[in-house]
Amino acid sequence: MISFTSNSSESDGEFIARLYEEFKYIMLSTAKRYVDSPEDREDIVQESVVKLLGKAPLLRGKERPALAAYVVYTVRNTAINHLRHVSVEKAHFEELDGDAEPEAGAMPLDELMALREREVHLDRLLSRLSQDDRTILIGKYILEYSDEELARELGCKSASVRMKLTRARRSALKMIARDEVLSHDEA
Amino acid sequence: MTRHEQLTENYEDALFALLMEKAVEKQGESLLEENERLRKTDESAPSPTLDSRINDAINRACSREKAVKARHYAYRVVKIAAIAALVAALLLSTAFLASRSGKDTTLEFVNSVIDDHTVAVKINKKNDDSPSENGFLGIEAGWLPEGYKLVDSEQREDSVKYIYKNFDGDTVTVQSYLALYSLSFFVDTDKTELSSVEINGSEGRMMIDDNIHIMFQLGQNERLVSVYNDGGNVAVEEMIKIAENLSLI
Repeated sequence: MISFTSNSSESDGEFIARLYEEFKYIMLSTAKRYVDSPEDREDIVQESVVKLLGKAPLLRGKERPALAAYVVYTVRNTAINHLRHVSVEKAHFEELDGDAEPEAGAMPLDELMALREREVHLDRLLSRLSQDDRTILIGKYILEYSDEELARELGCKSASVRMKLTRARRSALKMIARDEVLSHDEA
Repeated sequence: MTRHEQLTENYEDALFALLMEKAVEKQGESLLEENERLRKTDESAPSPTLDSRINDAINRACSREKAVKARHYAYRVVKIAAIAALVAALLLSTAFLASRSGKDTTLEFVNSVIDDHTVAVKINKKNDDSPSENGFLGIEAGWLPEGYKLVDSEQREDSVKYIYKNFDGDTVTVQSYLALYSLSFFVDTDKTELSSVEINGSEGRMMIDDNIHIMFQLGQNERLVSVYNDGGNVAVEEMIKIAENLSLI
């Protein structure tokens, strides 16, 4: 197993080449879940590697488990965008103007504080969320996108991102509070 | 938003980030196990061509990044000289216009300093006659950087636009206009490096910030051409080469 300590004398290109070498199997396996064609899967992996190169400084500071998750979510996002481009029924992915939607109410502070020690089952949480909520929470908290990058992912204005993020986060926190999406040990 | 609401939102954000960090770490450990299992069973093995495609893509992206950094460094060094040249050009502007009066070109570019941060670039028609050319305004790119190909074009009454893209989604846009009237635009010199450029004997202007933009006259009429790279991922020398290899069709 290759250790993933970042070497400061290593260029970003060398670091990402090593990252690809380490995680290429799971990258292809992830792409396989979304597209059938081997050519499309390879295109998705290639595009993902280029995206990861742009995030090399961010990735150098991460531990291996977090790196693995980042890589997989990048491939997942790239695959979903690829599907959007080829989908005929684009209406499913059209973004409603978020400014018109009511903002979800905040939970009381004492209830929020009680969530500190919860162990969240990530797949369970993400599967319960709407596609937009999933996209924005993954983009913000896993892929660490800026507001501009999130706006591009969602196809909305930058000004709408903050409100969409607040709403998505509150939906997720309420699910966590209701014990709907905890790890097996705790549920 | 009240202060309390802002603080609550900040707390929600930090709390959710911590919950997600823990969840991601746990999921990451499962993913590492899955990756190892796939590697041992050789499931989802990449094809030999994919490995070499990935290496090429990384090398291309890194070369582009180095070219952008080298360009920015070179222009920071030249910036002081460029500003001095601009001031000298303004002082000599009458002699400059006189020296070009014998040429065939009918568009001329004139810079005017508005303030410490702003230069106006005026594109003057040398005469008020009707345009010497009517009809289709098409132009053709005789040379493009590797990987770029035409993906879209749009024709309007007095202009035409061509969009070229490469596999990575980088874009070069070429637009051709009939300059029916003199026009001007403003450049924020704090953010944008403005310089003169000569394309096949025709004067033009080049603007560099996060993007690269060249405007010049193509041919011996009022045809104004714009070559634009969104994101600045094409080298300056290549942008000039694109411009030099445009031709009328």
